[in-house]
Formats: sequence, C-alpha cells, structure tokens
Amino acid sequence: MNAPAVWKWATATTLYLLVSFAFSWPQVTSPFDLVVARHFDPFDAWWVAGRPFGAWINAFSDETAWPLGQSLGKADSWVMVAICSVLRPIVGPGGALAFLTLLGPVFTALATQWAAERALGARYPWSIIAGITFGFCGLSATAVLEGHVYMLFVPWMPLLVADLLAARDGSVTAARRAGLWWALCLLTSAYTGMNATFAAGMILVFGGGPKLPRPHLRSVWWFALICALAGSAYAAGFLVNTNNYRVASADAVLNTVERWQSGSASIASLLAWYPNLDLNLHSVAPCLSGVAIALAVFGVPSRGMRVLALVAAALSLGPTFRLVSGQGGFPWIFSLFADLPGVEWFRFPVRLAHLASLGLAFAAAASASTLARRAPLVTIPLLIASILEPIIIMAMPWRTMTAPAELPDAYRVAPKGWAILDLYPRFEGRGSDLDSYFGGVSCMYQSMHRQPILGRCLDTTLTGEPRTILSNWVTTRVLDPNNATEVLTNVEFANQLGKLGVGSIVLHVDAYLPGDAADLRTGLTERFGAPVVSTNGGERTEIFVNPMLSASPLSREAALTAWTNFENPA
Amino acid sequence: MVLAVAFLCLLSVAGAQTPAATATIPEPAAAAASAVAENSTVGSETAGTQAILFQVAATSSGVYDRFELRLDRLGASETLYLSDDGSLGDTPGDGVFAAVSTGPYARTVGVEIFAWQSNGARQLVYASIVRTNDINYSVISWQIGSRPDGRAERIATDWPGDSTVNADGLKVFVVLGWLAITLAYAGFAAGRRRA
Repeated sequence: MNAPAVWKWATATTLYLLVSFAFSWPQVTSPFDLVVARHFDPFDAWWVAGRPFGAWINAFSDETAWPLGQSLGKADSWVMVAICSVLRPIVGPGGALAFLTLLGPVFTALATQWAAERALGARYPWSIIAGITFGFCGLSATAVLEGHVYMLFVPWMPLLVADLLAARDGSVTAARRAGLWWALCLLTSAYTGMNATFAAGMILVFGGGPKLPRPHLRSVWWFALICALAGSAYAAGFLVNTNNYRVASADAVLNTVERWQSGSASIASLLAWYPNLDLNLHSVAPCLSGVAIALAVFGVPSRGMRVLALVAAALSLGPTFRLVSGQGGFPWIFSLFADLPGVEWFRFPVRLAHLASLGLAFAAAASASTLARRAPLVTIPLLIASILEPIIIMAMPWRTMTAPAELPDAYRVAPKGWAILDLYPRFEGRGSDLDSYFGGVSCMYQSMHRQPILGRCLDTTLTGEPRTILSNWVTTRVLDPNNATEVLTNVEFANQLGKLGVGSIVLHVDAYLPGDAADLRTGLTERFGAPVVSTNGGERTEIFVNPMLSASPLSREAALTAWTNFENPA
Repeated sequence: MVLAVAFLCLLSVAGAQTPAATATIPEPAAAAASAVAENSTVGSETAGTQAILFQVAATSSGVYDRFELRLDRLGASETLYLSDDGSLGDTPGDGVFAAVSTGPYARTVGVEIFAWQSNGARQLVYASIVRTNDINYSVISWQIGSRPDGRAERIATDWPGDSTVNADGLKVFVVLGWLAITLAYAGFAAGRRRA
C-alpha cells in the first residue's frame, strides 16, 4: 500500500472511530462494566458473551433454565458467539461486547467505503458517504439500543455486493468470496442472511445497473454451490434446535399482520427518529439518511442500487402502509403473505431497511463522486452533512441509556453449586418489557455469580420456563397458602425446593410494590429464616438460603427427575 | 485487523487496571445457611447520584390542577408535588407538571400518582414499578386524558426534554425540513454539474 493509500485509510478509520465513539457514547469511557443500550436484550447478550460454553453448535448450558438446561441453538448470532468466545478470556464479556459496539460499525463502514470504490467507482473522500450511511445507519442505532450488537459488525454485506458485481466477468475467485460473505451474513443473524439473499437475488437477476451487468453464469454456479452448502448446514442446525425456539409468547394472541405491524417501519420512521419509537420493547426506527436519499434521487449512476434501496425500503413497511407508526394505513406488500405457512418466524420486516441503507450508501457515494468531478466545493457540504447525520437524524447518543453491570452483593452467600431462584413479579400488557428486562438482568447476574439459575436466557418466551413456574409455586404458597393445592409445612416447603436443587431464593424487592414485597419477605423469613440483604447494583436484594440442603449439591439428573415429578404429580 | 489488535491491547491494559465485571467474586466468609445472621447486610451502595425528572402532561384533560407523586426508591419513600410554574426551566402554564428527585441509583422505582381536582377530590391515576433507564439521569413521563378511564399513560420523552405529543410531531417536522434542505441542495449541486 502506497503512502497516499495509507493516509486515506488512516484518515477514514480515524473519522469512523470518532463517529463510533459518539454514536454509542458513553460506552468508550467504560467498556467493561457499563451497559449502554435502552431495552432488555443487552443483558441477555452479556450472558452470551459471558457464558463459557463448552462446545460450538451443540453447546448446552446445564446451569441455565435449571434443571432443564439451555441450548445455544437459539443464539441470534453465531458470529457474535465466535467473537465473544475468543475475546472473553482476554477482556471479559463487557470488553467483548464493547469490541462489537465500538469497532463493529468501523469495520462495516470501512468495508462499505472500499466496496463503493471498487464496485461502483466512487472516489475518496466521497466514498466516506457510503461508509457513514451504512455503518451508522438507523438500524445500527437500533442495534446499539436493543443490544443486538452483532448487527453492527456486518462488513460482509457490502463485500458481498462488491464481489457479486465483480463476478460479471466470470471470476471464480470473486464468486467464491461472495459465497463466503453470504455465509457470514447468515451466521451474523437470520435477518442479515435474508438481506444478503435478497441483495444477491436482485443482482443476479437485474445486475447492478446499466454499466454493471449481471454476474457471469460460471460465477453464478460457484456462488450458488457455496450458498447451498452453507445454507443447508445452517438449516440443519435450525431444524435440530426447533424445540428450543419460541413455542408461545405474550404476543401469541396477535395475528400475523398485527405482529408484523409492530415490527415494521412507517414513512415517518424511515425518515427520522422520534421519541415514541423508543418507548416500549424495541426501537423500530430505520431512519434512512437524508443526504443519501437526496444524492440518490439526483444522482445519475448506480440505478441498480437505487432500485435495491427503494424495493427494500418498500418491503420494510411490512403489511400496512402507514405515515406514522402506531396509526392506521392501508394494506401493503407483506399483507399478501400473511396466510403462508411458516411466516410467523419472520417478525421484523423493518430489518429489510438495512439493505435499503446499503443500496442508498452505494448510490450516494457514486452520485457524490460524479457531482464532485465538476463541482467539488459544492459537494463538500453534502459530505459534512452526511457525517453529522447520525447525530442529527438518529439523535444518537441522546437515545442511549446506561446501567451498571454490577452484581448485588447478596448473591455472594448463595450456597455453591445449588440453583438460585430469582423472584420477580409478572408484568403484563405494556409493562411486559419489564418481564424481559428482569429476566435479562438475572441472566447477566449469572455470568457473574456462575451459579445455576432457573430462568432462560436465549428465549423471549417466559411462560413455561422453570423460573416462572417455580416462582408461581413459591408465591402462591407464601402469600396465599390456604388456596394452594396442598398445605406444606415449612420443612416440606424447603425440602421440595431442595429436591429441585434450589439452594436459595433471591427476592428482588424493588420489582414489587412495597406491600407485596413485605408480605413475601415475611413469608419467606418464616420458612427459610432471615435474609441477607444488599443494596447495590441499583437494587435491594434479599437472599433467603434454603436451610434443608444436603452437604453436597444435587446433581442435574436428580433435579431433572424431581422436576418431572414436580410438573406431573401422580 | 490492526485496528482490532490495537483495541484488544488497549482493553487488556485497561483491564489490568480496572476490575472487569467477570472478576472472581470473593468467597463469602460463611456461605452456609447456618451462618446467615438475622437480616445481615452485605456490601455497600453503588456510588453516584441519579436524578429522575417526573413529568405529567395534562395539557388536554382540563380536569386536574395539581399532582402528587409518591416515590419508593430503594426502600426510601418520598412525596413529590409536581408543579407547572416553570421552576425546572420548562414552560410555565403549559400543562406539563414536573418534579425532580435525586438519590442513589435505582434500576426501578415504585410510583404512585395522585391527581387533584379543583374541588379537592383526589384520584389515584397511576401505580406501578417503573424502569429508570439511566444511571445518572432519567426522564419518566405520563399523559393524562388519553385513556377513557382517566388513568395516566406512560409516554415517551427525554430529548430535548418536553413530554407533549406535539413535541414528537415537531421533531418529525425538523427532520422533514432537513430532508427538504438536503434534497434542494443536492438538486442545486446536480444542476450545476449538468450546467
């Protein structure tokens, strides 16, 4: 690499790093022990990053969802699992997640810039518009806020497009590389794989535009072969783990169209963030770049990329064309597919806007390069505006929230090797995100105390998990023993929990209204004795240690047998 | 690759100085159940102070003239009287009642909101557990008048600090303005190129 090239990439990298630090501020100030996000999934991501899974595809954690166990088959991203497996021993789970949060967009932006220059002839510094537009797009902001940090590390998507366009001359090497990028997209997440498949399909059928014809048939065969092999392996893993996937959830009462609507863009959310988009559960704010839209509209080249962006943006609107999220509209493209079998697996049409951002990024960079040939000074404000857009349009980092990754001290007295039952109330309706939030926090705690817990950590379905079942059992017998199916003495109560391998109950006091917490404390104290109390990590925690434990911890097999009898009493 | 290696080196160095979240937890002095003393307390509070701004937007209800909020933060109870006099730097008389509570960081707080009518009648309009979201500063907002039962409903807010739904609309207008300007400017630039 010659000196100008080194200078170019060093400058671009520095710029992307600065934008990234601002984008996820204040993550860079505290990468190890601060959760910077907004919703509940970052805590589960912490668990994935912090769990020392013994193996790969068939990895299984005995110590989660005790005694049933938790398969890693539900993991959203195998790329994230692999990166965290490598980084965790060096920098811990917080550092591994910070790596993805802080450097993921930088790698993605650099790859997009490179691809725009190589495949579409964009010129530096205008190619930076491509890097910013895709690396720091609206769904990147969503990834930070929802804790899906693997979505930030997707250099494979622009590389896939670049290599498919390069394969128009029949290059087998480019086709093989494109197959590899497609497989990595699929391993990054199922939605990224769908975006990659959609992009590849568009390019294979229509090409990249007037001067970018379709790939040569020889390249297509190679690409298809690699995709078939990788896709088959992924599908096999998916089917093997079907039983570990969502079986029912709080929104199961919604029909397909209603579910899609909550995960779809609207015209307003495609253009900008507004506060209501962050209120509950998710941040469905794809926020396309205004500068990129303007450049794509007025640009001459890269018609194929503009079409790609337009079609993807139209699909991201889901089943209903709406001006503003949460309001009425008229039936749109996805409504045609609502009755097809299996579509319930696809929940977030908005994720297709990721591809719209990529198409816009390429189109904008190529367009700006063309404009700049005749009027560079006039084009400079557009470059500056695109760099500012992640702040102006997406309101990052004002949307990020912080929480400490700190274990309440009370967990220290939990008997070693015995399971911990985290006691939280159930929340329904619009408060249901608290259910997921507390479940996620409990999982993050497990990556620190490393004792078995009864909650699931990779499944958003709370009904049916051991924690929910046993919490209901305990709560009923403590608060309303006369209405329980059987009357237990304090010793029988403790023995039943001991048979299931539960060594302690952690009452998360602040999750309850004060009266309920006091009643639970009184009832548990009668049965287990006085709790050990701590007030740190942002909550009051009271741990009640089971007084009827044997000297050595119960084996999982014994607990599993007891659990089967518990769920199916004779 | 160089970037990744440099990042790892930095994190490793910093990790040597900062206790990572996965640091081994010290073994309890007496973990056995028999050693648990009555109501023993372990550890210490998380350092730092968290300010929570509570807002109740009653811009369209016209029924209530003051609000009282009972807060339970880490077991400490506090009663806040929400005001609309502009004392918090907001617009006086705009129908958005607000109060600030400062204390140790809490992941969640218990909140009860009572609304007072001008005839002295009091009504409980909200009671639940609420996430605070941020370790330093949180804004938690409700709206009165949007539900037929008269109860308060959580709404989004926090930037630039107003809680009314109209403000959400304003932000959309700002962005549409941004888009219009960039479109116009790009059109101007394209026109120059063609000329």
